[in-house]
Amino acid sequence: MFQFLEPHAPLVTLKVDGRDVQVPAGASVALALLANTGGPTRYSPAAHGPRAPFCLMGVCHECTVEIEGQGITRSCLSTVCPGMRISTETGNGTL
Amino acid sequence: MQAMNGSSDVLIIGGGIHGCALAFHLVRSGASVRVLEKDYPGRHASGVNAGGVRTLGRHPAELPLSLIAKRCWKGLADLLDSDVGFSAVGQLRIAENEDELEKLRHRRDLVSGLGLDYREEIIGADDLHRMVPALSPHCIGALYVADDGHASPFRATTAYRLAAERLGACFERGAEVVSVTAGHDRFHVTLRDGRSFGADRLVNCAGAWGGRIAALVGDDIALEPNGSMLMVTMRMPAFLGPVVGAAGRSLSFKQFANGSVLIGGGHRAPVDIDRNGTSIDLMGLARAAQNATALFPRMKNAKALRFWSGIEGFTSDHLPVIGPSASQAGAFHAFGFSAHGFQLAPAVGLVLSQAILGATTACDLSAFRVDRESIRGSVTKGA
Amino acid sequence: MGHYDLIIVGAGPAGMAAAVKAGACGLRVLILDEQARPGGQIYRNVEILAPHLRQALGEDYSRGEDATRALQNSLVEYRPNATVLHLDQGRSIVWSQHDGLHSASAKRFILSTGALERPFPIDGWTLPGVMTVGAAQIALKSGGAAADNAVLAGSGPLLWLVASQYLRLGLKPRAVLDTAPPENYVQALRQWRGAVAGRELLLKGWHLQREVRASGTPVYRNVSDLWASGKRRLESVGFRTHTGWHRLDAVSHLFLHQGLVPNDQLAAIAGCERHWNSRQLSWQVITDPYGRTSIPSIFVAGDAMWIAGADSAALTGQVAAVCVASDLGHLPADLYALELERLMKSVQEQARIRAFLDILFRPPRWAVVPREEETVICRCEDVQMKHLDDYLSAGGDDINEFKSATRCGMGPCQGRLCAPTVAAILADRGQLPGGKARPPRPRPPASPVSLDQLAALSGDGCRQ
Repeated sequence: MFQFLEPHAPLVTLKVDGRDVQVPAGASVALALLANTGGPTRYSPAAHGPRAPFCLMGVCHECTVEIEGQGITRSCLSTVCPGMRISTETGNGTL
Repeated sequence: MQAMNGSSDVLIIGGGIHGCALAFHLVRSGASVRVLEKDYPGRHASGVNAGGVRTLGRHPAELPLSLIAKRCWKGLADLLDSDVGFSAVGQLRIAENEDELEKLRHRRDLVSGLGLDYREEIIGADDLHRMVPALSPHCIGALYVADDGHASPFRATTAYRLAAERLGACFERGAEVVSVTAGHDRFHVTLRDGRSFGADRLVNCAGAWGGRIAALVGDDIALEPNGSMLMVTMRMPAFLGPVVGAAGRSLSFKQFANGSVLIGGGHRAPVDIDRNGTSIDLMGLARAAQNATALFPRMKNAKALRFWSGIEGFTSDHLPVIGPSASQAGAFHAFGFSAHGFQLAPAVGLVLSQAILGATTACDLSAFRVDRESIRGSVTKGA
Repeated sequence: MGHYDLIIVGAGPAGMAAAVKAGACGLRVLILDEQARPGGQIYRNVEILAPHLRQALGEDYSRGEDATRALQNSLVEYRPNATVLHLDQGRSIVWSQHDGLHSASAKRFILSTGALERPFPIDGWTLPGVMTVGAAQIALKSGGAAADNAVLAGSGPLLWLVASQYLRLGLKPRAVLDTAPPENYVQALRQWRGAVAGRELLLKGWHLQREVRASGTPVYRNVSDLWASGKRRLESVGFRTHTGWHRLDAVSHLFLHQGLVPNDQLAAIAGCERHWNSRQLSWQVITDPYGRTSIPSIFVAGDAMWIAGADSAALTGQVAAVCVASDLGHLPADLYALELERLMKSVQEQARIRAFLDILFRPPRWAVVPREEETVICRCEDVQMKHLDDYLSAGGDDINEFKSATRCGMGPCQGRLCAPTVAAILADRGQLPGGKARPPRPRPPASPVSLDQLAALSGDGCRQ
């Protein structure tokens, strides 16, 4: 898993699949996922292959998750907000 | 006689779904067939349209042909030994107010009075919302045909082509026709790259370019090329079965098995048939988006992934041109489908093949005759 | 609708330099960028990054702040968080911000949309844990995050740069796998003039490699095959060198890199013609020497035009701006000629160096044409190498027909990650001869747009 290197950055608490997670302010939601999830954050629609963020620059769409209030969207282009609720894919290939 | 690159009983100009379906039926009946496609088969309207398979709402003149097509679609995958993506999920035309519902009732009555074994039925609010729970509650009824549906345009076109090829039909790609000479019951066709082919019969299935090809055999038809815009969304959880249109809006709306939603409605955008160029008019797409969200509120957060349009050919009366040339014996036409030809293709292929081979046709094609006054052009518009 | 002399898309080195130059020539300029801060990818977050991270990223990164400061201090209108959707025939542009869609018209456009990484399709590359080297660097720049014990694999300057950046932050990579084939060095020697011109750059690169080796990080050269495997995520990495096959287990992250390709999707959507660049193994917008495309009102600049790095991007951004200023009568002919000559001289020098680097870091065939039939070439739609093989064996030769037949390129990334691979495979089979190459035809929107934003256009019209 990724780790954050700034020990003194102010932290933001958000929920990923109902679980509380703490991440430095200013980080992208994709990084929040990479630092707190070892496994897949979605499954590919055609062959249901496990996927997770890949390019982190908005091109690949592999980081797509559901963010409450923003809908189904690329998490690498979203900055973490306190109280944000994020749902990753649970397997039926709609993300 | 000039040197030729090939000869066949029939030469078909245009490898869209009409050309491919016709090729299949002709070769199946024993004729030798060559299709000349200027790009690759299914490149244009046939490969990129909304895929609606409907008799609902058709011009009465088209219904007999369309009903034959409806029967064909049901067995098409078996006939072609290939998945064409057809699902008979039904088609609805929604009424949002009493005026619209009244218009739909008129249509229902009109259809009942045609003497065809075919009905479009009115369904009320309760049944409608049970059938389409995602529909906005303000919708009060609909016109419904249960065995309409949708199919995959590119797959269906390809299925016809592959089946025709298996039976010996020949398909040339990158084969743009520039001249046609006729004489002694033979046609001699020359391509831009210099190749030439000969045949006893010539068929114009050239879609939006059909007006130009028609002129090469002496038929002067006003054909306006134009684009019909579509948009597809990112995948969404399944929420819709039937294909939906609206009585008071330009909208076609369907959700595929993979969850993406396709939104059309015939909003136009200019095309350039010399360069295969299409364009996008965002205002038209904005209207399509507004129509979609008005009927299906959950679409507000749906994300459009791609906009496109195919290149269609529109006749002045929006009915196709199907049948023998009025100027040149042995030449035939099947074009000008005015953005609603996909569903008709299986029937056009069958019936036109009958006409070409001199057999009795399964239905009368006189409503689509080449020389009807309503489509004559002395100055061909835009083509 | 707002009217401008010039609208620039992308606030990376090329866009920023173009904006500042055009502003200085007295043009009315709007610059749009998708991110919250200027800098593009290379100078991402340079304005606000914590000091110890800045230091680890190196001086080349910090220098970017000069450019961002120049932009912020200029009189150009700069709009961040703006995602461009469509550029209509070089006349008007539509973009999305949080509050809805906006549009504007301009006499000229400069598309400085940068680059993306060339796909590196190996067996298992879709597994969670496999990412790009660029992603590793973005994680550092945009969140101060890094993965310990990572394997880096591929070739190109970025590979060594990120490896050394990791080391400076106290993170030792598990291994660095260098896929540059030995014959590249031989062929690169023919471009020795470029090497001499770029000796500073080459020396920097050599120092980075030395830094990595001196740290004790295992470095494997001449890697000639590579796979990743695991069940729900990456677990193992296998690779072959001249001594045979090796395997690393318990690998949590594999970062891949083999160069960049232009991010020219918007230019293609706008209708700019492209051709296949067989030296850089990518589609490239067809331009005159100054970046003007087949649509006279549209220029491309920076890596979106051809991959040449940040310094070259700043130059080509200025070249485009100078041409636009001259086009619009804001630069007298003699001054225009002088500026252009000065800038083009530097551009050409950069190009010589680039020719050398292109050969030195040219991906080996195995990394571009997958050997395994099951290797995924279209990640979005799970289209595999075997599907392309079948299509080509049946006589197919058209990328767009292949797309219609298999959905390759129809997914959310709209072909950005598969088009380079498909084209490289066709080129490898000799099916992309010079003039007959048919590039993919991406369509708007350049980024997905919500229907409620789109619908609002028809209501009260577009906002400014």
